[in-house]
Amino acid sequence: MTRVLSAIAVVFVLGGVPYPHVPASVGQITAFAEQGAPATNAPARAPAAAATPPTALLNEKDSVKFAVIGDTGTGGSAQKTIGKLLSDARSRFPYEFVIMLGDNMYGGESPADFVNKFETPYKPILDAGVKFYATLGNHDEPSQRFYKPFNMDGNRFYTFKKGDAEFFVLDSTYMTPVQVAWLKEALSKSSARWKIAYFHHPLYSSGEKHGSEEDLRALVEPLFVQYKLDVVFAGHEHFYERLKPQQGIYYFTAGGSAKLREGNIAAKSPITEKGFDTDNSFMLVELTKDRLLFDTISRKAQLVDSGALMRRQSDAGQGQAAAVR
Amino acid sequence: MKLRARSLVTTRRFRLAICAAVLACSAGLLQAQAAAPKADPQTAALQEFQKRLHGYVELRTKLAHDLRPLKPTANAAELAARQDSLAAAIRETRKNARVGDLIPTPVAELVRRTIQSDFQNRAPEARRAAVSEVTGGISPVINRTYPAKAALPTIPPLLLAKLPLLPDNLQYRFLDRHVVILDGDTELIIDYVANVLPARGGPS
Repeated sequence: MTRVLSAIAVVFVLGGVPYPHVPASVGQITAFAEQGAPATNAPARAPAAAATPPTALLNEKDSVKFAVIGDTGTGGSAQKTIGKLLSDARSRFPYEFVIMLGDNMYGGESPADFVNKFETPYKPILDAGVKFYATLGNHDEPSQRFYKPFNMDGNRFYTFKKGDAEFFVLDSTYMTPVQVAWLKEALSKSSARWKIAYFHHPLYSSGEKHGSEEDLRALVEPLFVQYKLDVVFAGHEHFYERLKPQQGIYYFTAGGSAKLREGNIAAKSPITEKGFDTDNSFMLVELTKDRLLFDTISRKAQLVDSGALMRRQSDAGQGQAAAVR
Repeated sequence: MKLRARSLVTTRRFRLAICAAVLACSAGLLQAQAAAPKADPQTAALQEFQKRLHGYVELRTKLAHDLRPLKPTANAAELAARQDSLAAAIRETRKNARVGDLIPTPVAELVRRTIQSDFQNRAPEARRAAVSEVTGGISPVINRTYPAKAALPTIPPLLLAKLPLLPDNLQYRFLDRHVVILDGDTELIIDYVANVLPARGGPS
């Protein structure tokens, strides 16, 4: 019952009700086009400029703040532009770390590639002490787990904690029974307020090239549901997609931070809440006590999606459940 | 004479007793052999497979220890140098390695049967998706690295769960129509099973 009511609460938040306004000083990334994340299953095409830059981010003092990038390792101009925007955003939204959704390195992985495809595009952020936490994609050599700036500490799958949140980082390129057993144990031991998983292959996707990873879903989704995971981030698809909650879990695909698969989101996909496949993008995310706030920003510095999601086990959700009973 | 006759009788009785005892023992042994579980050839082959793989991992660990073990470093050049030197040492130590040195024939057949059966039970779309990123036109060679610029196609996780477990960062990967065992620390192909997947352009 709690889960159902939490889902209802989420629909309420996402159903077009304006999110409480945030001071403009927080949201000056540049001209934003959309706000409040209106529910739509049509991919966003060309957002028009808005006069006042809105944002969902509250920039609260004690919140957990991070950025999300995926499928980045090209060393190309789009990656560098996103890197610059990431750096610029930090002056207004001082995120502490960046999660990388895999395909951190396309093509060769020589020492020069690590410079061109990671260290140079993100130099200002790295110099500022922002940590990156990577996961492996299907273009990544497993030895990347020893590359210290990726903070994997030699592991293909691992967890880390930030404030009230615990992140479960999986290697979806090689999901063995051993890893599944590890995930079950890690989730069962977690007492974190927010439980967030990320990995490369999306369990749900409206991408016409790849689509949903059903094998992977069959193995890990039951654990996500059993242990009440809140949010999942994935890459692999070179676009941005926010899925309709699946079994009470929010899913984002954010694999368009350097490569782009233009027009690849199925136009009438029944699982898309919001799609953006006309330009590269990245996300800024803030976790407060009971809400996940996010902005998704394009390479042209436009806000393409934004909103607030209630934590599935939030006090508000439980309160509502109690009231109904 | 009586004594001799008694002695003969005793000897004959003794011989009979010995024969009876031998027969009884033989029958017991036969019974025991019949009761003992027959050695399952597949189980034995899988045990042998694990033994060989653990031997490989021990070798890698020893060589890495003698060189500079892989460990987290911020210096990509240092990481590459460690990986290359380990790969070179493994190549040198296993320079005569041949197909089947690690994967016994019955296990290779088991892997082949398992994958082919899994693919037959998948919908055509899922079959195509499983091999959509597999690099074609390359034959695996033991001690060579996996093609550097190729994607590492993912073995579908439900299929992976059916294959014999591999230890410590050894991985099954598709390469063209073949299944290789990849050393994830060095990117070396250490053994493979040939022609497991359907031919390109064949029925998907």
